[in-house]
Amino acid sequence: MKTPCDRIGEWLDDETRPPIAADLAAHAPGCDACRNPVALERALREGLRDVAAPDAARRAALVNGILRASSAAPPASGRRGRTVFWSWAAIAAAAAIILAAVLAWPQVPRNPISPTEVFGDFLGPLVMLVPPAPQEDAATAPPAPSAEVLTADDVFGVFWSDFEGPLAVALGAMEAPRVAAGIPAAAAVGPTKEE
Amino acid sequence: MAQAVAWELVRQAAAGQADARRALVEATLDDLWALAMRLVRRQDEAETIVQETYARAFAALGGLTPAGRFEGFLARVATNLVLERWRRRRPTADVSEVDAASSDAEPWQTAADKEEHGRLLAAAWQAIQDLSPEPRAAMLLFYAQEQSCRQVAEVMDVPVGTVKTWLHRARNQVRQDAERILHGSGAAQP
Repeated sequence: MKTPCDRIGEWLDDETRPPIAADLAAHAPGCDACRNPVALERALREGLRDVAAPDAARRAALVNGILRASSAAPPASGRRGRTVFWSWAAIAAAAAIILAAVLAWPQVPRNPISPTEVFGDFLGPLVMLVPPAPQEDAATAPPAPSAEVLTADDVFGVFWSDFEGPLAVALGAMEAPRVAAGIPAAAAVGPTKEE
Repeated sequence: MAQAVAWELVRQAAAGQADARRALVEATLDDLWALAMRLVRRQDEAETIVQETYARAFAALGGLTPAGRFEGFLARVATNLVLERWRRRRPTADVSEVDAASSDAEPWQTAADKEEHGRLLAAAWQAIQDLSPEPRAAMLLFYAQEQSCRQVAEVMDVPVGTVKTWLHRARNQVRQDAERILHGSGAAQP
């Protein structure tokens, strides 16, 4: 069985039936726990409800102002239609300007530059993955590609040749299996690309 | 509360008929004014809210579907406008307007009762203004507008449970703040 104190929350949310609400209202003044919440509740319910109405002149001016503003504004549907139209018109105009700018842009003569001329030093490790073309008869061979193909030795051979001392010895030890397999030492292989 | 507005009148107003618009404003203005005043407690601010509410409502009339009450739609627009204003800045209602409006509302047993009630209400109003916008609106719609939790939820477009949570927290906050304000000013506790 809930005590009146337990029902205060329900009463505050206005979920209690009127007889119970009357019991709570009678209980609250004598209860230390309920007195302040109920006093505040009463003050809020009774104090915030009433507001001053506008006087007749102010009300009439307000009505006229509202109607004047609404008559000045276009009807909702018409305004929406025009808004949509102008949105599309703006998009079409922007697209036309961009297209005209692209067409009018001066054409810069383009010199064919091979990627390796620009990125050769950076793309070496990637280009080296491309196997060298097999040797063919000069008569039947297709024209040589303009792009130069680097091999692994092009990249690492030059790289390794720059080392000296203990590191060179260590690198030489790493080269030993290549030498045993009949593969020329990297350092001995010069760059194959044309100077 | 005024009689419910017929949707036929709304349809005519949406079509741009001036007399229908006037009839619509005349039929709904008093309730809308009272709502705005209960939320903001200042006549000039309430007037602005009312004007903006009708401007937005008339702009949206064409897209309205005739479901529910038109007054409910107006209340939602007005409440959203007030919330937008509160989110931008703190409300500036004068406590004396709250006190003055409620002075004659209740038949008081004694002058001391009335004075005590006025002090408590002024402190509560001061505390209400410190609440964040949504709980503040829920509290004022519930107490001042005398709406149920369900009605507040409909106006604010949130679940009923959210309204109850807001009210519970707002009550506790206002109670604590009001007691602090009353103690701070040296007034006696009820």
